[in-house]
Amino acid sequence: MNRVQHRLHITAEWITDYAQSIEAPLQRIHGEIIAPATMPIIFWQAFDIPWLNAEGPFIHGSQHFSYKAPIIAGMILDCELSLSKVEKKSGRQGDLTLYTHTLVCKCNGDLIVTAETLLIRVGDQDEETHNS
Amino acid sequence: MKKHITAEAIQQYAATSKDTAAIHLNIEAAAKVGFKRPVAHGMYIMGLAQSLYLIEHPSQWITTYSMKFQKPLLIDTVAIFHFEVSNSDILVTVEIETGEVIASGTFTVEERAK
Repeated sequence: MNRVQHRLHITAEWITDYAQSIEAPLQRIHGEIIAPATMPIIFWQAFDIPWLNAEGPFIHGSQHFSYKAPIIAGMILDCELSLSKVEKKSGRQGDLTLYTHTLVCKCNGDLIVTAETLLIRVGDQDEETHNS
Repeated sequence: MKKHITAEAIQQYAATSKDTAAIHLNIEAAAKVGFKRPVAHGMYIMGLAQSLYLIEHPSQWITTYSMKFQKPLLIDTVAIFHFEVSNSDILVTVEIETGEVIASGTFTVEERAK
């Protein structure tokens, strides 16, 4: 099944570390630290993603984040990462496989953020698998 | 806005993000796929663009943000970040000094409650 779930505790320290790594100013809402908009991409480190383990390397094609509310330090987020679409295309670099991923994070059932990640694999994975 | 992309910054981003793919860190691994130097993470560029904007606009927070990664950005390169307001969107373009576009995107912002 191309869907994995994880519960994440978003600590102030984790937000601060991430913010420092991208030179982001620390922002607060009602006195609480909020995460930079791009932070959910590092939530991927919490997941074991079985459908990517055997493949790669990948090129990051595009990225989208959409927030209903900011991620606030102390939140417990229930996140689900799914492979929402796989497409094959031919490009200048040869055969490409496009993997669209959707990450949805909720806090107490309320949607906080949705992120879409397009990863591109160059080459024909099926052919290589069949030949190996 | 110009920013020199250093190996140290990419190493720090790799450690925090746990994206330690060799192409970002190792000159030999980069050379194997045809690059003279390691390549910055796309998400480092996207994150940095957001940071540079927010340093100038600290009362706002970003509510949507999209970026397309068009070309690899090698470390020890100067990246130039352009921001342009278009209606309620802010358009961001990241170029190198030759004018080649590395990444481009759009974000929307709201005023942040204090």
